[in-house]
Parts: sequence; C-alpha cells; structure tokens
Amino acid sequence: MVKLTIDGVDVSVEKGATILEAAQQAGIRIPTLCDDKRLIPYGGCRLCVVEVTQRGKTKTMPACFNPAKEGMEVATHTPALENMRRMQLALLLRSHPLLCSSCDAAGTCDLQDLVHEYKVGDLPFTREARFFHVDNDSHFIRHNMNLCIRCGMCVRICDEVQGANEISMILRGKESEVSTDFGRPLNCEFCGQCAGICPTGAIRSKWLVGTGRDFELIREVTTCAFCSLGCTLTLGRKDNDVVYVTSPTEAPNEGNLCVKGRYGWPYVYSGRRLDKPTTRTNSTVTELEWDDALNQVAEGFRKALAEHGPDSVAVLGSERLTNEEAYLLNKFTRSIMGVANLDHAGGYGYAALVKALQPSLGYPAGTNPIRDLRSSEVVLLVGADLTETHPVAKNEIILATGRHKATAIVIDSVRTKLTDRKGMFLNCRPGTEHILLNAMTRSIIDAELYDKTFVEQKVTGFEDLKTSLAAYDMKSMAELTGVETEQIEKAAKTFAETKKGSIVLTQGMMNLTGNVEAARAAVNLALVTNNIGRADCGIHVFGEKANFQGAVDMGLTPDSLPGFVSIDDEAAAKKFTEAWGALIPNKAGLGAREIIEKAAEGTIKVLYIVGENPIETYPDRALVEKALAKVEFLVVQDMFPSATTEYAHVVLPAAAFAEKSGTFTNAERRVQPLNPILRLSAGRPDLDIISALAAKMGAAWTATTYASVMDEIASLVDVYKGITYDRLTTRELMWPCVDSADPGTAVLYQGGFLNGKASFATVGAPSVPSKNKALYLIPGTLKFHSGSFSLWSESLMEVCPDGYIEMNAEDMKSLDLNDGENVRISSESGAGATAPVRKSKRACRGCVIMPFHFPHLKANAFIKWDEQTPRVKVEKAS
Amino acid sequence: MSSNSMYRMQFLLCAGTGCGASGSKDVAEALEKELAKRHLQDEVQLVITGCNGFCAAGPIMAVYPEGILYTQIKPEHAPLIVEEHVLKGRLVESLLFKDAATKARIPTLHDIPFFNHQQLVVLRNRGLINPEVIDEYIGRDGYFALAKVLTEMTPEQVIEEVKKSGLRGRGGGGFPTGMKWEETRHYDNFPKYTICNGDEGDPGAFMDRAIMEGDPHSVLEGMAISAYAIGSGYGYVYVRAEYPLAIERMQRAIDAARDYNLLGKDILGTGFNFDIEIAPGAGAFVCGESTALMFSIEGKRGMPRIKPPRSAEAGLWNQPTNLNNVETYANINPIILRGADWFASIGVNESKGTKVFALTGSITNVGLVEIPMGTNLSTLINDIGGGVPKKRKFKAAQIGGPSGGCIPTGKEDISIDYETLLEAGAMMGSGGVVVMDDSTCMVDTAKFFLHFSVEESCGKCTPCREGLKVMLDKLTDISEGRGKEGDLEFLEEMGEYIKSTSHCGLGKAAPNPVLSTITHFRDEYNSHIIDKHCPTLVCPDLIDFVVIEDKCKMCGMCFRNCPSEAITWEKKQVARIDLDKCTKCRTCVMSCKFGAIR
Repeated sequence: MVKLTIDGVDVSVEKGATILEAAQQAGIRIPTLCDDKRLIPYGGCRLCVVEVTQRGKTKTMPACFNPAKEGMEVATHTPALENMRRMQLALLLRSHPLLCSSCDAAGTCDLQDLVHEYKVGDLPFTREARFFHVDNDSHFIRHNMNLCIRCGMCVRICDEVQGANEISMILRGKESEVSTDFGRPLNCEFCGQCAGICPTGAIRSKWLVGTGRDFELIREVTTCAFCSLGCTLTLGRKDNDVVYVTSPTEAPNEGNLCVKGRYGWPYVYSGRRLDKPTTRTNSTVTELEWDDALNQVAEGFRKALAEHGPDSVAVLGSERLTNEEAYLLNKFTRSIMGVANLDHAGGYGYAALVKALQPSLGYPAGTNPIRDLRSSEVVLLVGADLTETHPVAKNEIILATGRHKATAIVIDSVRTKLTDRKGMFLNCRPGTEHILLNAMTRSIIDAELYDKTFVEQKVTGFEDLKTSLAAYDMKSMAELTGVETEQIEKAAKTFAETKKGSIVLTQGMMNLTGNVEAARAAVNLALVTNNIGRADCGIHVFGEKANFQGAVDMGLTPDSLPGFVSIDDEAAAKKFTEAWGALIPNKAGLGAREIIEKAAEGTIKVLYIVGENPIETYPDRALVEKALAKVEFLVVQDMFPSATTEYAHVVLPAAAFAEKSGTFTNAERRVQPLNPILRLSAGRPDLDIISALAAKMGAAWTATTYASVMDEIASLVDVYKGITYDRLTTRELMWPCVDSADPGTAVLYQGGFLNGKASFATVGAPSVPSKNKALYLIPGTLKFHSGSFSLWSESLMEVCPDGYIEMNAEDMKSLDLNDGENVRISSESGAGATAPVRKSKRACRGCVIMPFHFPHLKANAFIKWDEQTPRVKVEKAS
Repeated sequence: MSSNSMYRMQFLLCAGTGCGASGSKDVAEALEKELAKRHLQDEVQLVITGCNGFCAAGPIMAVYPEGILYTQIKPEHAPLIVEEHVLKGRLVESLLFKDAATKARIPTLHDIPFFNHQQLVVLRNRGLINPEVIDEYIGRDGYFALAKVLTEMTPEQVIEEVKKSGLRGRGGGGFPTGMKWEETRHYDNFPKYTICNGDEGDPGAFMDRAIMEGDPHSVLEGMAISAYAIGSGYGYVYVRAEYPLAIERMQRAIDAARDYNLLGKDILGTGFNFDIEIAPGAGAFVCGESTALMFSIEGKRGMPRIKPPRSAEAGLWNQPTNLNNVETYANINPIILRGADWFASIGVNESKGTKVFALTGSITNVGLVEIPMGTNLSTLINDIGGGVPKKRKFKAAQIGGPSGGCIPTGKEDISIDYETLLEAGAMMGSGGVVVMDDSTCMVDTAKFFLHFSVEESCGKCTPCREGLKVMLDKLTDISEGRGKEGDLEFLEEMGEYIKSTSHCGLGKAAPNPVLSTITHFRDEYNSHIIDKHCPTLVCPDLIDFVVIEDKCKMCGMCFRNCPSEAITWEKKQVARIDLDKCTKCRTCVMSCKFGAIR
C-alpha cells in the first residue's frame, strides 16, 4: 500500500494506482474529459492537472496517469490549477461550436458541465469553426465531428475494450478527427460504445437526436433480457416511450453493452406484439377476453387431467422467464396439476450445467464471475464464439489478451474473431471439441503436468479417469480432430502451467453438439490443473437466454425441484409438498424430447408452452410440427406470433421485460432485478397469467407478486435464502447467499467442494466420425440476433435483415459458387434451404455456416436430436 | 584509405546533400573522364565522400596527400585540375578558398578558419571515406571498438565506460546515455530492442542526415555496442522517408556489415547476435519523440504515450527498449577506443565531448560543424561561420529549431553547453543553428517556428493542439496590424501555460521561440503592436510603402523592379509609390540598397 495525502486527506491505495484513482477513493473529485475507468489512461485533456509536492519540490502533473507515490502531498484545487483548467476549457471551446441551445447533448455534455462549473466566460482569442457535415450514414450512430474535443475515448474503447478497431484518429494537430478508414459508414459490431462514452454530442445514438432534453427523461435501471450475461441497462424514458438505453459504469458490466442491449429494445414497441388472448377452432382465430381465455385454458387442463391423467399433460417453460415466473410455473405444474412432464430449452440447452458441472463439482453453475476472465492468464474458449453470442464477455477476452497479455486458446470448428488475438487456434472438426479436451487432459497426465496434491486431496475418481482416457492416444486423436499432436500438446502444456486458467463454454439452442461431453471434459481439465476454487480461473458457462441459470435454479426440469433438489429426494419432496400444500409427483417426468415424441405419438394430449418456440428452435422440425398438430389442446403463452402460436388452440399474450418486475440470475449466478418501466402495451406479465390460471384451477396462493414469490423462493431454496428484493438494487448478490448478512459468493468452492471433494467424470470412448464426405452444417449465431425474437426488433433488422450462408473461399471455388449468389443446401433427410452465400473467413474448409435465427431458413429442420453435426449438400439454386 | 596506398594521389570529392545539390555528381563524372583520358586512373583515386561540412563552398574536393581544398568546382574545371594539379604539380589558384575578410587564398584545408576551430569526434571520418565502402570505415579503426567490447569487456564495463565519459543524449534532451543503458539492462525481460532515432525534423537541421549519409557504419557500430551492453538482439534505425539517400546508405551499410559478420548471428565468433532493420518514418515531426517513434515502428499512429512505464521498461512492442539519437551512437566508437577520460576531457562542466551543429541562415559559411562543448557562440558564428555576410549585422541566433530559443546580439559570448543554453532560454536541441541578421523580423521568425509546431502537433493534448494555434493567431494579428496592448502579456501567459501542461517535448518547447523573442526583442514587438510598423520591413501589412526623400538616391531600382507599376520615377527624381496600385509585395523594399522605403 502507498500512503499519500490529497488536499490534506490521508489516503492509502494499492501500489500502481494513479493519483486520480487515489483521489476518487478519497472522495475528491478531479475533473477529467478523457478518462474512463475502462480505458488505459491517455493524458490528453490535461484537465486533471494537480500540484504534487514530493521531496520538497512541487510539480504540476496530470493525475490520470501519474502513479500515486509514498509521501506525495497532492493539491487538487489551488487557484493556479483552477486557472489552468479554465484555460484548458477555454481552449477546448476554441473550435467547439457554442450552439449548446440546439445541441442534443445539452445537459449530458461533460464539456458543457465543466465550462459551467469553472465559469469560463469570454474567450480571449479568436475562435475557429470547423466544417464537417453531420454524418447520418451509419446504422444507429450519428457523427457530428464539429463537436469533437478529441479526447480519443471512442477510438480507445473501440480498440482496447471492443477489440474492433473500427475508428481511429486521422490527420494531426488541430485538424485531427475521428474517422473510419476513408470516412466510410461504420461496418462493425454496432455496440455503440463510442456513442456511449463520448463526453460531448460528437458521436451519438441517432434516436437521442431530437428526442428531448435530458431533464425531460426519466431514467430507470433494469436488466437486459437478451443473453445470460445480464448487463445492467439504464432506460431513458420520456412519457411512456423508451428513448435510449445506456448502462451505468458502476454496474457489473461497467457500462459496456452490445448491439442488442443498446439498440435491440424496439421489439417492445413492435406492432406485431400479441395483444389480446385468442382462440382457434380449425382455422378461425377469435379474440377473447382474458377471463374467458383463462377459463378455457383451465377447463382444457382440467378435462385432460380428469380424462387421461397427469401423464397426458406436459409443460414447456423458457429461459426467458424470470425466476419468479419459472418458480410459479414449476409450482403450478407440479402442485396444481400434479404433472411431472416439465422441461425447458429443448431439454439440452442447460444440460452442461446439470449433467456435467453438478455431478462433478456440486452446483450446476459456472464457478467464477465473468469479470475474472480479464485477469486470467490463459483462457480456453471451447466452441465459444463470444463475439457473436456474448459480445460483452468477448470484451473480457479482449482485455485479457490485450492489456493483460493473456493467451487465448480457441478450440472451435469456426474461425472466430478471437482467433486474431494472442494465443492459439485449434481448428477441430465439428463435434470433436470434447475429444480434443480429453486429449489435452490425457497429455497433461502423461507429461505429469497435473497438480498431484490437489488431485489427490480434493478430487475422487482419478484412476477411473485415467483408465477411461486410455483410448485417447495422441496420434489417433490428432487424426480424429484434425488438430496436430504438437498443437494439442502445446495447448495442454500452456493450460497446465498456469494457475489462472479459465474455460469458457457457451450453451444454447442449436448448440447440442456434444455439449455435455465437452463440459465434462472441461471440468476434468480444470480439475487436473487445479484451476477451480480460486479467483481468475474456473469454468464459465454462458447460456443463450437471459435466465439461463435461473431456469435451472427454479427447477424447470423433469427431474428436479427448485434449488437443484432431485425429485427422488424424499425429504425435499416433503418440504415442497408442505410448502405448496399439495402432493407433487414423486417421479421424474418426461424431458422436452420425449414430450415432443409422445405428443407425436398421441400420448401427450395437452401441452402448455410458456415463452418457448419449439417449432422454430427445437431439433427435428418435422417431428415437432407433427407433434403440435397432433396435440388436442395446445396453449402457447408468448410475446410474438410464431409457427408455434399458429398451432395453438389458445394464445396468451405475455408482457415484455421492460413492462414487468422479477429477477434474472445471470451466468455468474448474479441475481438481478427487472423494473417495470413502461406501462403494459400488450399482454400481461407471465407471473400474472400463471397465478390467474392457478387460481382458476383452484389454487389459493398468497404469494402472487414478484417480491412475495421471491420471499417464498428464499424460504425454500438454500442458495437464495438471503435474497430479498430490498437487497437486489446493488446488483452485488451472487448465490449462494444463505442469509440476510451474506454478501453472496463470487467464486464457488473457495472453501472446498460441496461434499468435501469434487469428482472426475469418466469419459466415453471417442466416437469415430462418419466417412461422409459432405459438408458440415454449423448452425451459426449472429451478434445482431438472439433466438428469433430479435427479429421483431426493427433496429436489429435494419442492420441484419436476413440470413445468409457463410462458406470458405476454397469450398466456394471448388463448387463454382460466386459471392452473393443464391445457393441451395439440402440434407439427406429432406431438409432444404435457399439463401445467398457469402465468402467468409469464419467458415473453415468443409463447413457451411447458416444462422438459425431466421424462421424461413428452417435451420432446425436439418438437425436431429441424435445427429450432432448434420451433413449437407450445397449447390447453385436453380 | 590505408588500403589504397598504390595511388599516388587521392581526390576526395564531397557528395553530401549540399555539394550534391550544387552539382558534385557532374563534377565526379567530368573528373573521371578526364583522368581516364589521360590514363591517370591508376595513379589518382577519386573517392566520393559524405558531407564534408563546408557546404557554402560546395562542391568541394580535398586533394591528398597535400590536403589542398578546392571549392566551388564545376565540371568544366576538371581538365584544369588534372592538368595543373596532377600533371604539373601547380595549385589551381582560382579554385582555392578565398577568405572573405583578408581576401587571401588559403590552399590547405586545415588552415581554413571554418575547419581549424573544429574538433572531429563524431565526424572523424568526414570527407575521408567513401560511405558506401565498409573497408574504408574499417580502415579508420571502424568496428575495432565493437571487437574490443565483444572480446575484452563485459556489458557492465561498457556501461561504466559510457557513464564515465559523461556522454549525454544528442537528440535534444541531454539525458546521460550510460544511465539509460544501465536502466534498460536492468530489466530482465526479453527480447529487448535498440533503436536509433534518425527522425531529424527541425527546419534547418541536417546533422543526423550527414552522419547517416557520410558515415553510416559509425552509427551501426554504436548501436551494436549499445545492444551488447543492454542485452538486446535486434535494432531499428528509424529514418524519415524524406532522407532517401540516408536510407539507401544505411541499408547498404547494414548489408555490408552482415556480409562481414559484424551484424547478424554470432558476431565475430563471440556468440553475440544482433541485427538491424530500417524503419522509414512517414514524415511526422512528433515521431522524433521516442514513444511516438516506437508506435510508428509498430505501425500505429505516432502519438506520444503516457509514462510510466518508461521505454527502458516497456518500449517497442512493450519490451525494454533503448533509444538514442544518431549522433549519440556515432560517439561510441571513439569513447571505447580512446577511453572515457579522453572524451570527458573535451567539453565543460556537465557537457562533455563535442556537438555537431548545422549552421544555416544569414551566415557566410553555411555548413556542418563539430565543436567541443563549451565553445563560444561567437566563435561558432564569426570564426567558423565567417560571420554575417553582405555587410549585415548579426541580430540573433535561433538554437534548437522550433523547440529552442534565440540568443540575441550582445549575448554571443555564451558558452554552448546544455545548461547555459537552457538558462538563456534556448536549448541544445538536436543542433540546428539559424543565424539571423538585422533584416530579420523577430515577430515573423517566431511566427515561422510556431507555424511549424502548429502543423506538426499530433493533436493529442489540448494545450499543444489548441493553445499553439491561439498563440499563432495572436502573432498573426500582431504582424497584420491587429495587435493590441496586452497581447504580449497574453502570449507570455499562454506560452508558460502550454509549457507547463503539455504532454511531450514538442508542446513543452513549442512556445520557446515566441517567449525568447519577446524577452529579447520586446521593443520590436511593441512597434508592431503600438506603432503598427515592422522595423525590418518584413511584415507587409506593417510597411507604409513610402519613400523617405532624404534617403532616396534616385537610382530607380525600385521603379525597375516593381511588378505592378506602382512606382513613378524619373531620373534625378525621388521615386513615389502609388498605394492604390501597390500590392505590398516588398520587391521595392528588397531592391532599395539605401533603406529609403519605409
């Protein structure tokens, strides 16, 4: 620790902290215009000058990058310094237009605020106007470079945090400006970080232009409802309209957002939102009043239960439901209807958690905070194309490999953007990721690079693991995966030699390619290298949707109750029976796949689907269509019409995230609140629908508000025990949080594993790929979309309106295909799609990538539950 | 030279930038032809050398063994020189140097005042070797220092020797070189890099260029020794792309050194590996700043970065890096071979050794000179430089280019060393000396240098980007008649403020030319501001364009030269200027020999 005084206040800070950081810690404000805690200090604006007295000498220096040193006496606000700052501000106004009255940034402009604070009056020199045209050519973002004060923050965040390098400074001196190459419109991730960080109005989100003064807007904080990272959003509202989205820098995501989080929200206003409940008889659809609709649904459920018994009914929930909604859906299904057939995410989207992490480690959850990734020394990305799936987590990899010089080992069948970073790219065949990981573990054990003490004392099953790895000899694994032996061994060695090694897995619909095996292999690898149970290492599992973790926590699975209690656990079942006041089925129900299969066979007669779209996202589309057509009574509760709602007998419209309360638990186990910011524009919150339905079916629930449901959850689920709504606003609680004084747990297993020891999972024999020489089809994710509901967002559709097929240039050449022309891909099972083809570096030889977001491409028709990587034929479309 | 003793005579023809521009290539061709015609090519060797320094008299050629210097040679003089000097053994009087003061012809080089006050350490090989032939460099003890260091000295001893010599960075800052090396050696993080800064950009400076063009191996040898001392295996020579000849010669030298195993792997069989690559700059002055230079090598935008970390810790590609200037490296060979004590015996106080200066402006002997530190400024100007020509009077010398300040008349007795110059408001800089005579307007001069800095500011920090332009606008106002009281105080305040809050050396030093001219020539500024008159008749808006009748000798020069027919004159009549037609081009002012126009 370094001790110094700032304005007479004693401060002690970590060695290496800057004077500015020390002052901030002491609560002393030093003005800045080019500093942001996410960025490397720059020293451009020179507003943060302070007087530092050291060893009898006083010097003026910027506080933002000079390190605090022992014994410094710092003065931050002497008259001389204030004069200097006043002069700096005056100089910044030399070429900055003084049209604050018509400027959209007025009120949120840091320059304006400081000019006001420092009372900068007449400028004692000639001003100079710059003449840039206002550039509206880019999506979402407007550039008015006349306002630029050249703090460089946009350029730096684009480079240092986003790793995109889309914009840079051009020209020099007073002529310097921010630009893309040759001033073309932006063609980037459109994360809008440049607009978010701009201290003036130079770079601004377009919908903040002309929409209202800052003081007219009401800001509310909520949680992003797209992916499982759970970024904090600040929604700026004017009347009942969201005007903009930004993120507070003090939030866990430090103010970073991706394109969906920042610009994707207009789906809330989509005119296509389901508005009123409807019912369908044959092909006539009629609107219903809510009460009638609920009566009809309750009646349908009651009838099936009475006539065919609980096994004829099934419920499919969703990772998009809040914890409270998922919990009530579970309670409704098991206690009101007595039904055991309950699942979500196709039954596999969460499988890595419950089938790999839970058996080996204890909890079905990622072990470390997302922000630990940046301080890892080696990050192993297993099939994790974070740039497309979880852009804000990608930023962590950028920080790790850039600022912190970490190594990224990318194991993937597609060439992700992160392969450009410092590290290695192990380009394996699709579906062989787990084989590669097992080969690495084997290599580490053979080379005796594993942590013997840790393995001996903390983990069971090492001998079994070794035996099961016997089949993984390096030479044939290299052949199988298509990765050279030396590369596998080098990657293994790199990972074994660090004590700060993190592994990242992503999960989601369409990502069923050996994901359980890969997760087991990842756990084994983390355990042999002792990379679990400390900060800056561990396993991260990022799911596709917002409440990926919470849906598992709330037991939306066929075989467990809330709090990962097995349905076979009698004591637990008793606890829930008592709490829920009804008998619950004491056996595991059917999973999603069986539900669909049984429905197709006609055994499942009633299906209640909440927030899920099986036809467009489950594998084997033909089977799902058949099943839903066959079901006698299908109830679908959702926000938007889809192929699934078309089959529904009753459709119940649901509310959007900005219209309701509740909590999401993100991929790092952080429980975060939603806030009802907008009046309901259509539908009702899922919580209300489920409780109303339960009431119609005779439930006498007392807890039907979000907060009271959370209290009930806390009373039944151990890891949520200390969680109440009052405590959530700080966004600091990560479960396990066992009582009201528990600050939550950032890193799991720090004090040891749940049962004292973790266990290795034995691995199956490596599967030999088929001799099929056709191209692999990889269902791809695009950063502009999330599932299919982003398709209702006008803004995202503006950037990425339609699907396309990505192919390697050489493959295209051998098939005589031209960039942009329509191609037809088809599989032996009869699935087919036509879309334009694009030459892409992302696609490796032998692989075709097709995004699964677009319903008309029917990507899920190609995929079978058992066939991990479909093979397809590609030809010119006729 | 030593290996060429079979020749009885040598012509050392300068082909530096100055002589090259005045036609030395044609002279060389003519001489070669002439020698061949008379079958003397085996008796007389023609050597094309790098810059000899005496650019004012170029093209020049020294003839050895006698050491005769011929000046201002033209191709048509070739037969004369060969006929008279080679065949008949007679000097060609008309081509000998003529002393401006005594009108006497001085035949031998070392008797010419320009040369005899100089002490050559850095420029030890100037005018003596062909820079494109490595053997000639080796023949003058080249690479002996490297051999000595690699075989007899430890890196610590090398650093100790350099520290003891008192050598300080010649790029302008004057940081002790040995200490820099020691600090870089201290970091145990490999690879380390050795960089030579050849991004010489000051207006009027060409020292580094002359060294790189005239004696490239001396730089490479210094770099190799430095690399050995700090533990580096790779080096870059950063040369601005506007120096194509320097780049070509440095490249040729690197190739030759590699061929001789003086660069590359296992140098001289000692196991020491070091190689060098040339990184051409893209023409930004600010890339002379070390961190900006490193960004530029990395392919990034050349902007100074924050420190810490210092380059010694994390420089190029974030690795420990030692960066020195061209001239600094050229000093290393003599320090190693002749010893630190010898080097420290030259110079004064904290400034040891010699310094190369580029002498330009209103001075008789424009050229490149090397003088011991502590030499008097007036010796430099009057004895070596031959004083101010055309009966003009010395007014001031701008030392240190756009970062330096001026030393006015009356203060020429100042000793040229780091500290004294700094105290006088100037700075050593990289060594450009621009001499100004009494026809120079100091406001205009300040404006010129400031304009340069405004153009070259990278734009990163506010005071430099905006503040310098504010100062330039104010100076422009003053020189165009819009000056008002308080402007000088404003300029001084703004200047001090820019100096204290700018980020890098460029901004911190850019106000110097303005501040020092205001200090020394306040009256001149005041006549611009208050009298709206430019005393030296330079600022067109502040000239009345009126003929002073008393002074007019009625010669009609102004009338004949006026391009816009604004002057009426008849024999034996005072000229008159019609202000309606006058375009204020100043042709009349410059053509009037009697100062009769104000």
